Parts: sequence; C-alpha cells; structure tokens
Amino acid sequence: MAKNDLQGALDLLILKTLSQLDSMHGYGIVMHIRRVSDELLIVEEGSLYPALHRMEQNGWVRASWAVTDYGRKAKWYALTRAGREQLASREKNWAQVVKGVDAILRFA
Amino acid sequence: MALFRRILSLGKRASTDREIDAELREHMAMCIDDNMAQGMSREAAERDARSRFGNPTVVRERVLAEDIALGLESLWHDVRSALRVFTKSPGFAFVVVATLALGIGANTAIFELLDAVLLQSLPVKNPRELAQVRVVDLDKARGDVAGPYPVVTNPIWENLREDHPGFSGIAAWHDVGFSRDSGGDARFVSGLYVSGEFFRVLGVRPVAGRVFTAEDDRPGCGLPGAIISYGFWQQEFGGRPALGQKLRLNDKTVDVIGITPANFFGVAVGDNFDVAVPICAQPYLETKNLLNSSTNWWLSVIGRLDPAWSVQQVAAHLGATSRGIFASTLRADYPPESVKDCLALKLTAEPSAAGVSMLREMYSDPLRFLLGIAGLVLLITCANLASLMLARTTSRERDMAVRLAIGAGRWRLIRLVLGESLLLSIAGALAGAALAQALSRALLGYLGTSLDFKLDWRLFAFLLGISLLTCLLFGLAAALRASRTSPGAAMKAGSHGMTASRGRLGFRGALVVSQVALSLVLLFCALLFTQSLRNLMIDDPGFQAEGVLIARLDFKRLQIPLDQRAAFQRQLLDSIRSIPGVEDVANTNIVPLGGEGWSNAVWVDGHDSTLRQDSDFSSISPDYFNTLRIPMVAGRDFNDHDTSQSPRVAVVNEAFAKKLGLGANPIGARFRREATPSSPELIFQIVGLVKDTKYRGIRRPIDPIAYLALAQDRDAGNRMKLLVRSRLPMDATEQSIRRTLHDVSSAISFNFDGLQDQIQQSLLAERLLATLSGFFGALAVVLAMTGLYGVMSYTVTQRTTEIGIRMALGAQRTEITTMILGKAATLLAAGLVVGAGLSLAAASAAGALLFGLKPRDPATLAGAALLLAVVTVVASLVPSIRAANVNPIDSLRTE
Repeated sequence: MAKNDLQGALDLLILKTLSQLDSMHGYGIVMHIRRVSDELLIVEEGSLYPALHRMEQNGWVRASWAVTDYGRKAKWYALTRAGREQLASREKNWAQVVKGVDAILRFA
Repeated sequence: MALFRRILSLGKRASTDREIDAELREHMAMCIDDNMAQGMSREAAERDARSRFGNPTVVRERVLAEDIALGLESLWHDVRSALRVFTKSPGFAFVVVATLALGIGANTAIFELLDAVLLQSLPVKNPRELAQVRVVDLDKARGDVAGPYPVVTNPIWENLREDHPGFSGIAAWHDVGFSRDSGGDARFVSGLYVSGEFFRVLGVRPVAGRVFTAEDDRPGCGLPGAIISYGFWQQEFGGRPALGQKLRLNDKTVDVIGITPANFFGVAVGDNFDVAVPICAQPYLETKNLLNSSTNWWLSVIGRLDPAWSVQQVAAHLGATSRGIFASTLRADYPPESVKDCLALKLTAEPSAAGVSMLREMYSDPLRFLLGIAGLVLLITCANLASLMLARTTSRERDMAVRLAIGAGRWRLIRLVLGESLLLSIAGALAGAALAQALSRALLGYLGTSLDFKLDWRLFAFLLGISLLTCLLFGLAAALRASRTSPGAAMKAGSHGMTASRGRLGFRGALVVSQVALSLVLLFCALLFTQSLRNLMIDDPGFQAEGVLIARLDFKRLQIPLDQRAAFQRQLLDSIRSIPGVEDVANTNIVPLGGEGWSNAVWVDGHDSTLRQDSDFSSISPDYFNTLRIPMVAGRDFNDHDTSQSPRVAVVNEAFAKKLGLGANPIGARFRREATPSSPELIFQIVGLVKDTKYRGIRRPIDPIAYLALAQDRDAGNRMKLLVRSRLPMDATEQSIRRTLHDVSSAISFNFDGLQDQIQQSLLAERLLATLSGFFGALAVVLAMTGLYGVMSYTVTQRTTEIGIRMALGAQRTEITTMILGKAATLLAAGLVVGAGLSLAAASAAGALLFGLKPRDPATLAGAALLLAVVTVVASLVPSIRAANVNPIDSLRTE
C-alpha cells in the first residue's frame, strides 16, 4: 500500500529536479518543472519555499549561497545522501500511487 | 535532529528572517529578469512577477515557520506577555505564588527529609554493592543484644571475616559512646568500633593520615590509634593539623592517625560518628571483654558483594551454612538448654546501599503518610487556584473574544493561559524550594537529629514534576475555558444575563466539592493523630513520671572492690536522700519507658519448666515503688534485710501473678528463672505484689514484670541509675545532686534527664505526625473556606439580575438567603459524602500509626465533618446576606 498521499508529489518533484540538475536555486526549480512538464505543472512559490526549507531542516537538501549565470546571488539547493534515499523511496511510492489511481479510473 | 536544529535556530531569528527575505527577493528579481528578457516592459514584468508570487508576507511567514520551532518561540512570547499581565496585577500574582510556595514548600521539606532518611545511598564507593548480614530471628537468641541494628557476636563476625563467599570484602562495626570527662558532668563522643577492613571495604579514603588495615585489628592490640571524622576534626581541633594529637577516650590515651572525608558519617543515617577505633581495642577501653562472648550480640556486619554474586545467592548461601557457623561459634557461656534454638537460627543478607537507620525505622511510615497529606494540601491549593484562574479568565472573556475574532487559534489561547500558569507555578516552586530549606531545618531541629540534605537529582525532579503538575492542575481548566469562549456572545455588551450559565458553576462547584472532600480527609487525619497523641500522653503508665529526675552515675574511676560496691551505692543513695527537698530516691538497672528491657523465662517452682512464660525484669533498690508512686497491693517492699546472704525475693506485678496463675494473693509463692549467660537457674520467693506498669514503651501492652532486689545481685556494677523525686524544680535538684556527688568524689561522672521528658521524647514521631497533620488540616479548612466563599460570591455576582427580578416579583429576603445557602449546602453535602468515603480509605492506611482508637472512628469522622460544615456555612453566610441585600432597582438598572 502506498502510504504517501498525493500531496507528497511536490516533494517528489523537487527532489527529482535536484537529482537531475545536481544543484539549483528556487526559481530554477520552478522553471525546470514548468519546462520539462510542458507547462502542465506550475509550482507556486508559496508552496515551493516552505517545502525547500522543510527539506533543509530535515537534512534532505543542503543549501549554499552562490552567484547565478546572470550575476544574481541566489540560494542553491543540492541533494544530500538522505535526500537521495528519500527520493528513491518516494519514487517507489509514487509508482504505486499511480498504479492504484489508474486501477480506480479503469474500474468499470 | 531536525527539532534540535530548529531549537538552535531560535536564537538567530533575526538572521533567519534576513536570509529568507533575501532569497525571496532574488527569486522575484530573477522572475522579472526573465520577463524582461521576453520583451516585457519593466512595469509589466514586475506586475506579472508579483501576481505569480502571491502575498510575499504570507510566503515569508510560512517559510519562517519551517525554519524555527514556532511553537517554542511563541511559548516564550506567551511567557513574556504573562509577565506583563502579572506586573499589571501584582496582588493576584503574589497571592498565587505565595499559596503555591506554601504548598510546594511543605511538600518539598517533607520530601527532603524522606529522601535523606529513606532514599539516599551512603556516601561511599558503589553503595549498591553493599549488603548487610542479619540474623533472621534475633529475638530467639540468648544474651545481650546491643543497639537497634542487626547484630552478631564477635565469634560469628570472626568466622564471617575468615570465610565470606559472595563478598569481595566484609566489615563489622558497633556504635558506642566514649566518655571524655574525668569526673563531674559526663561528656561523650560518638564512637565506632570498626573492623580493620571497614574503611577499605566501604571505599572511604582519608583526607589526612591513614585508615585502619587488617594489621591494626589484631587481638591484644591495645589502642593502636583513632580515626576521627571531618566534623569532629573541625569541632575539636578547629581544622588544625590533628595527626599525632592525643585524645582521651574512657580514660585511655590514643593518637589520631587519620581523618575521614566531610561527607562520611558512618553507616547509620542520622548518627554521625566522631571517633573510630579497631574492634580489638574493646577489652582495653571497657571493663567487660566482649570478644570471646557468644552471648553478646553487638557487631553489625556489612559487606561488598562480589560482582559474580547476587544478594539472593549470598543470602541463600548464608542460610545454608548458618548451622555450621553458629555451631562453631558457640562458647561455653551460652545457656545449654538454648543451644538447640541457637543452632536453628539463620543468617541472611540484605541490600544495604542506604545503610541502616534508626530514623528510618521510626519515621518512614509517618513521613510517607505526611508526604501524602502534604500532597493533598497541594491538591486543595491547586483547586483554589484553579477557581481563581477561572474567575480571571472569565473576566478576561472579552479580551479572549477579541483575540479569537482577529484570528488567534484556540490552541494559541490555551497556550496563552497555560503560559501564565506555568510562570506562576515555576515562581511558586522556586519560592517553595527556598521555603523548604527553612522548613526542613526546623523539622530537623524538632527531631533533634542531624542529616545531610543533598540537592540531588531526585529533589530537582520532584520540584520540576510538582511545578508542572500544579501548573496543569490549576491552569488547564481556565485554559480550556478560555478556548471555548464564543466571540459573538462575549462581545455583546451585556455583562451578565438573566441566569448564570449552569455549566460554569458546575465546574467551579466540582472544584469546591473536591476541596471540601479533601479537607475532610485532612481534618479527619489530623483529629485522629491528635487524639492518638493525646491517648499516648494521658495513657496511665501505672506510675507518676512527673517530678522524677533520672541521674545516671558512673564511679568506675574510684575502682571500688566488688564486695564494697553495694555498701558504696547505699551510701550514695543515703546522701542524695538527705538533700533538702528530695522526697524519695531509688536505684534501678532499667528506667521504665526508656526503651531498655531485660526479659527471661519464668515458671512456678514445682511446675514443669515447659510451662515457662516470658517476663520482664528490673533490679531495684528499696523505695522504688514509693519514688514512682506505684501502689503496693499486698506484701512488702524490699528492705535492707534483703541482702546477698538472705533468700532471694521478688516483687511482682498483677500481670505476672495472673500469667503464672498464682491467683489474687501470690505472696509466698516461689518461681524459677531460667539460667542466663551470667547466672544459673534461680528460685525467687514473692514477697510483694504491685499494680501493673508499662515497661518498654507506652505503645506496648502491659506485660508481666518481676522486680528483683539490687542488693541481692552478686555483681553490683560501677554504675547507678537513680530515680529522684523532689519537691524542688528539676534544675535546683540537679545542682544539689552535683554538689553532693562532688563532695563524695570528683571522679564520679554523671548526667541528668527528666523522666517525663524522656517519655515525651519517645513520642516524637507521634508528636510530629499530630503537629504537622494538625497544621495541614487547619490549612485545608481555611482553603476550603475561602474556596466556598469565592464560589458563592461569584454566584451571587452572576445572579444579581436574577435575584433582582425575583425580589421585584415579591421574593422575600429570607427566601433569597435560603436559596443561596441551599446552593452552598448542596456543594458542602456532596463534598462531605465524597470526603467521608475517602477518609475511611485513608484511615485504614493510618491504622498502624494510631494508638488507643480505631482508624475508622465514627465519632472522629462526625466531629471533623461537623467542624468543616460549620466553618464553610459561616463562610457562605456573607455572600448569602449580600444576595438578600440586593436592591432590585439597582440590579435591574445595570442591565
């Protein structure tokens, strides 16, 4: 049984993005998700930053201040080892959630 | 970890704030940059970014909430705002803190005493490894048993010393008083005889010099040296170097060779030792050699367990080898007919981490009970404070309603009120802890003992627990009440409605009911203990102790030959009798009700010795019965014709005659006394019959007593215990006796006690219980009174309008008074019923502590209930009368 509810999706998106990009700032994460999902998924800032800071407090991501390609100073986030483990278990969970939801939808 | 990080970040809230601001600002800036890169104007780019971002303040707050333990931060905020509230109403805060301080202080003081007496371990290395060796049925052993602690004979100790499976080390000790005077007023130090390994086994290292070793404790050692305690070093030498200094103990000189650390008081809690000498020095310091006696039980044995053994295993092993140990340690002095019983005795081992303590024997039950009582008082205090907090919260309803209306969560309001309670209870606990120091000193002074109070973790845990508990108890109701505030209703202008809400008084009513119930329990206990003490004090011991002085004399320095001692004793008696004001004087070897005792088996001469009965004994001089005013029923007192040459005679009490079936007139009958270690079986002829008296203690029933003539005792000692009845005040009598004795010889040492004082002293535990429970009972009644008064006043205020309407409609004043009083009476009655049930339960726990009355004494319970009823009805009279004086016009106009 997939324990994670659908709300865990945001965490999953952020973790996956960071695993794909190595390290990124908040704005970059928003843009990445938007671009890769063909503008289907738009993460709101009001949800993104609390989630990022919670992950930082939980020790899943590590943050440091660095300059962007365009010369702006930003807070960059990167996965920690605990974060990678978290991602792995979330991905497995998500697959089950999708399977479960799919089964419900196909039920006739 | 996460929580820890959050707590850490509490301290740097400002920098966290700045960082979040910067992060969000940069996010916005990047968004604007992108928009402009796609060709938007700056204004349009900014507008779009803002609209996408949403409310920046909300986002910031939500991020911040993730970063810091918001709960903790705002709790601190609550405490600060509570501080502001209390500085605004200092009277309220003072009353609460003072009440709590009293309640918590009393609890802490009793807990401290309990902790020191019962819980604390000995201040030695690994006290948990210590175990004491004990004879299971010591009262079946024959001979002299010294002291209140478990003891064995020296031969048994030497056997254990040589072979002690399960113990890695084993030691023995005996506490004794050494005299330090050379005549005149006796001065003693608390001495210890210790085995050579004593200090090593306990792991006590000297602060100066050395401690004894096995080499010091060899037979015939003389007096190889003395180890003194830190306290004695300070007191006697003022902390100056003491090694090599001389001390006089029992007229012998000894060198100080070592000093023990300040925290080491010996093994007996409450008895601090001054000087320790090896056991082998006993024959050198005292006239009678106890080392080879198998009938002198005097050494307490304590050992350190081998890590591989449990105390149960050691106990089992000792039990299994007991017979062999007793068989090999019995000497010829043991009465032959009792050898079989002795061989059946068993040794056992018990954990002894906390050492031994007479205080523990005497006070553990009373102290536990008192802690329970003090806890109840604290509960009542909390009930009172809960009522008070509730009233405050009610008056702050509008404040709460405003907070709720502008978005405070209910949980936030609960925390706000709990924050206030927490602050109050912590302040109360701190004040209580300070108060407890004074109270526990006073208690110690009262008990006349010295104990080491340590501020250990137990005390801190106790204080912390008690303050959190009180906070919850008195704050929670108010906090929940505050959270249930209905903003709409509370914001309405009307201050009180037509009728008071029933639910509100319901809870306050329940508080009053519980207060009354608990107060009844306390009052009942107080009355029980007071009556019990009174019963003990007025209990007729069968003699008149008032006006009798005990003079203990020691004239061994005069070295009077055995055959002249009886004459010398008679001469001393005569010279004291001739002091003006002295009415009667007698000598005895047992002072009644002093805790001493001597008993042997007796049987009627000619009967089979299997019909033996136990009887107490006293050896007395003529005039003993006159001095104590013990009525002579038949026959005669001893006189000067009863000597060691004349036939042995005895005076017995009525219980003796009854127990041996000698009928109403036992004069002339003869009885036998079993052989003792110091004398063979003897026959006595009864020459007198006296009324019954108490012997060992007031709490004990009347037992048979046989009085023997001191003059017929073959070995008259060097000591006398004189009972002196005088018309003069005690002090004056004492002075005259001092002068008289000094005239005889300045080498006689002596000390004095009042017989009545000594009896009173034996009732200390009972007195402590009665005094403190009386104090707590009174406190409880006052609290219940104020509680009921408060609630009734509150009711009247709440119902002013209603009362006004009733009066306007024609209700009489008496009806209004009756209505309010009826309400109070209902609460009172409910409280009394619950309280009576609780009291009966509590009383059965108190049963063993009572004397001369049944724990469920109905008259006492009725008395307590009546007293409480009267007091509380008086307390609710005032509000009822105020209710009757409500002016209907005024009360309706305020609406």
